[in-house]
Amino acid sequence: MDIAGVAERSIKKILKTLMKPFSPMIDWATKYSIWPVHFTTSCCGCEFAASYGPRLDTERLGSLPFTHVRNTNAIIIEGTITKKMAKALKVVYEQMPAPKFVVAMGACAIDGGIFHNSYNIVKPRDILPIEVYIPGCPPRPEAVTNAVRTLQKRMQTLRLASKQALEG
Amino acid sequence: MSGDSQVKAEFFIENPAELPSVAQTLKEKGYDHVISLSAVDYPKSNEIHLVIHVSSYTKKDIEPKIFEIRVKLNRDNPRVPSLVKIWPSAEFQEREAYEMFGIVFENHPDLRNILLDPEEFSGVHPLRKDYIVQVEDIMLKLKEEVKNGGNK
Repeated sequence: MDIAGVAERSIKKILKTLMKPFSPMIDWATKYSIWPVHFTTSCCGCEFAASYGPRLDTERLGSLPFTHVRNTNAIIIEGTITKKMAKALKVVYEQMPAPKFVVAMGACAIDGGIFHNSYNIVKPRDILPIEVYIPGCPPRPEAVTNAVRTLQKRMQTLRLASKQALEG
Repeated sequence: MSGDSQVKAEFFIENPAELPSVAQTLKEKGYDHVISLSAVDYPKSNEIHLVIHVSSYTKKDIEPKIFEIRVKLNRDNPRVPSLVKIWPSAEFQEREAYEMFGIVFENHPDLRNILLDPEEFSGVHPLRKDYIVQVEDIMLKLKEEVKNGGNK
C-alpha cells in the first residue's frame, strides 16, 4: 500500500473542503488580475498593443500584458499558429500556473483565416481549451477589451478560476 | 536594380551534371549572386525544373540583366550538384528547395530543413503537385459537387 500517496490525496481533499467557502473570492480576485503573456505570432499583435495603449487602456480592467510566462495566468493567441509554433505554444501553456485561460484572437487563430488551406497551420482549438474567441481579420482593439470583459463575466458566472484552482 | 531596362536571358540544361560548368562560366562573366532559386513540378511529364536566377552587383554593364538557368530533373530521384561553392548565396535557397520539392543537392555543406519542422515533414514535400491538404480536399469535393448539379 502506498502510504505517501494516500496521505497526499487526503491532504488535498482536506484542503479542498477548507478552501471551498473561499471560491467566490478566488474568482473575484482572478477576475481583476488577468495577466496575458505576449504571444504575438502575426499582425493581430498591433491591435493587441493598441488595445493596451492610452486610448482604450485595457489595463484599467486589471489586465496587464507580461513577459514572464511563469507569472501569467492568461494567453491571448494573436494570429496564425504554424506547426513549429504550436510546439512552443504548448510549452508556454504548460509553464503557466493554474488557473489559466486561453483567448484565440483573429480569424487565423479561430479557423486558419486566409491560411485555411495551408500545409503548415494548426488550429489552436485542437491543442488547447479556448475560453473566448475574438473574430475579425484583424479584430479592432475594442474587441480585445471586450474579450477581457467577457472573460471576466464568464469567470464570475461559471466559476472558472476556482474550478481550476481547486480541482485542476 | 538600375532603371527598368531589365533584359532576361534563358538557358535550358537537359543533363544536371552540366550545371556546375555553366555556373562557373557565368560567374567568370560577372554574374556574382543568385537572386532566386526555385523549382516547378510537372507530374504529367514526370520531371521537376530547377529554376535559378542570377545577376550581378559588381559589373555595371550586366547589372540590369537577369539570367535564368533551367535544369531538367527526374521527378522520382531529383539530384543535382550543389552551387554553394560557386555562389554562396544559394545555400539557404537550396535548403528550401530541398524541403519543399525533395531535390537533393550533392556536396551541399548543410542539407537539412530550413523552414519546416523536420518531424512533421520527413519525406513529405508540400509544394509538389501531388501533396493534398486535407481542407483543400474538402473544397475540391464541394466544387465537383457544384459541377455535377449541386447537392443530391
